[in-house]
Amino acid sequence: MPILEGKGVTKYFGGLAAVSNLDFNVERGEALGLIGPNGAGKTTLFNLISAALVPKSGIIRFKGENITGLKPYKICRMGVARTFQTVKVFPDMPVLNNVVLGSYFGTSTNMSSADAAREAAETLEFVGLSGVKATPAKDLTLANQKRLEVARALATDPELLLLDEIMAGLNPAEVGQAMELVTRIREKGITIIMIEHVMKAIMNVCERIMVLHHGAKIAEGTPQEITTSKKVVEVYLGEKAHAGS
Amino acid sequence: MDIVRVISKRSFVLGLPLLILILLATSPLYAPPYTVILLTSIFMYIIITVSWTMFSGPTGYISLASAAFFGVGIYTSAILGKALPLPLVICMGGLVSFCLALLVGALTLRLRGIYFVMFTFGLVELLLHFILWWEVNITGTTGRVVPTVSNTTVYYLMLIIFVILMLTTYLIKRSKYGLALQSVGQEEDAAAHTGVNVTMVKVMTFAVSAFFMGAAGAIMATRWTYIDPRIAFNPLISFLPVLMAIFGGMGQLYGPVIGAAIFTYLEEFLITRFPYYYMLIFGIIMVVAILYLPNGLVGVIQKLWKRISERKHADT
Amino acid sequence: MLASFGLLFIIQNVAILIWGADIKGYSYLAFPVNFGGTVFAANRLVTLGFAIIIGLVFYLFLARTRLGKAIRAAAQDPSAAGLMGVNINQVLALCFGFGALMAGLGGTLISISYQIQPTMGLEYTVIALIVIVLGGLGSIPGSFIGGFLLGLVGSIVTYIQPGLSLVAYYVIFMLLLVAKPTGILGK
Repeated sequence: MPILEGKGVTKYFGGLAAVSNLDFNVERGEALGLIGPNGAGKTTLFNLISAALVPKSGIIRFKGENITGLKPYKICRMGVARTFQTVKVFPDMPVLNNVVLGSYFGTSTNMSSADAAREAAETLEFVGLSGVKATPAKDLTLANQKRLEVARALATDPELLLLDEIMAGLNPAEVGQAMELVTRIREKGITIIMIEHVMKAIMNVCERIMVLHHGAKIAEGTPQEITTSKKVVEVYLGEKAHAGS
Repeated sequence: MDIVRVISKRSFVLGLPLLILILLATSPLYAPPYTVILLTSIFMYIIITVSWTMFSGPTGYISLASAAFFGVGIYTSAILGKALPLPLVICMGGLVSFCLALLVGALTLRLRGIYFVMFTFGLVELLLHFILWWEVNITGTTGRVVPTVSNTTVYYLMLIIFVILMLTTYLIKRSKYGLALQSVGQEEDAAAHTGVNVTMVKVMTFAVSAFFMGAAGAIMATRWTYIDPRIAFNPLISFLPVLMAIFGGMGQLYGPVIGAAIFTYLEEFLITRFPYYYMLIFGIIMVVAILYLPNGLVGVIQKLWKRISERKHADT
Repeated sequence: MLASFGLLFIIQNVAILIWGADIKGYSYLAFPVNFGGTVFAANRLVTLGFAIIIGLVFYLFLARTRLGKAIRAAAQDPSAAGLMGVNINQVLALCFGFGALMAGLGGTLISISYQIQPTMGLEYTVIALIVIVLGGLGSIPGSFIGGFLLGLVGSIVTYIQPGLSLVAYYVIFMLLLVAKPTGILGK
């Protein structure tokens, strides 16, 4: 049974269909890439899964249970965590507290403060932010803030992690570090869905890609299949020469 | 003597409040009655201001319903005062306000902050009109008489509520709920997606803050002996805590306390000297504080502290 | 918003200092008029007329003039409007001024029919807030409809049970917040 499945998921904004009758499956443990031009509905789909928005119609199931219409905090506690396209760290709280919040309120309820602090420190170590644990989150660089969001999401102990453009705005060295982090997260057994525009990253990290355009799925397959698909190249990737950048 | 080192010591931070507490607890024994009454008023405003800050500080949702909860406490005391012993009446006053806050919170806290401000703003007028109408049409009498209690008893009751409130605020701030509250105030969406039940956190904190305001109201009713809707539901009690909190500074626990204390003392002082102008002066101070003292006295103290510590380090 | 409440206190107290805190009143056009088969007080009709005219003038101002466009743009997206050459600070100050202007006009019109006192503003502010939520935040025609509806409800309630009109407004407010917080014409 796939860990996440959606059938007929639709969302309108006014008269515009942001997501249109979408079916999708994600298998446990895989890394699915979600790509498409701006406005294709990728972040909207994330918002529908994490319940920031409610779909007009359609069903979303997580581990077999219907999660459509549940409140975001419930879905998080069931094991779905996410990051945000526009970074939403808690600016005036130190880095450690940002992550401790995830430990306290994530999938495990009733953590003692000692355990939560320990788990948060371990998570910071895992993403490489131990050095700044007392810094207020607003004083971090953008790359570090994105890593903080990942740490916070990981602290909730999720089984499914939604990463929304964590590499946007990063320089090539930082992109490499982010790719390496994603690989290490996968090694923990966490299923990942990533939205990305940085093609090199997504083609190398994900084993399956889904392409959205105007809210509908226009292609799905391995990175090899996607980069050679005529439809996808036409709509999004441009000429093959640009597909590698 | 290195004053920076002294004040930073743990024993000082714990010892000073304890000393002040002991002084306050024994004051009816040696202080003139007027001082005890003044201190009671100061406690009243401190309780309302600290309760207000407990919720509106971290979340940023500005509540203007303080007078409503306070007034509900007053009226509960008036209605139940003859039937039940005083401590129970105080708890009931707090409880009724708690329930009212649950209702208001459940209704408005799931919406944008501006609806909350508007709704709480009108709540005082609403209750005022409603109870006035009720008294005129149903019970036939306006106002009620409350059984009197000695000034010393009122003072001690206020002191007890004050201590409980400060303990509660301190414990909440240190706990995971305090963390959750802060996160809701800073980035509500992210908090929700990190597993925090934001509506529950907001509504419960709002209700707890209302409890203390109601309890304070129930106690103060016994000092005024006669109350009617216009006395009990005074919009000023909604605005003054906001002013005192902003003036004192909402960043630290002691900010609202010193803000309320200074202001209440100022009010007593001004009322006797300039009975006609003091409200005007308040309004002006309010506007000035909002525009020029965004972090209040706490902000000023923190800046001073930084400068003193830096000068110390520059010397060494 | 808080600073404006501070302003409320300042102005209220200045008014009390200058004119005293008693209730005052005067009589103006208080004779009955026959209109469409029913009898009205002349001053109420005058108030209605003025309300319609003021509303229309302001609506045309917002819809047709250059400054009106600037105000509407600033309301929808302040930073974008700023980039288009709108002086945001000036526009906001102007809006605040217009609001005060209309409140003043409203107050004058009320004084024709009702008694006045310096502390009456609070109650009308609460009612005004309910009106704009009912009409939909940001919608001028909505405020019109909201005001009209609320006034209607208020009159009916006052007829049945005087003194409960504000309570009735609040019940409407609560129902609104539960069912449709965006109001009738709100986005």
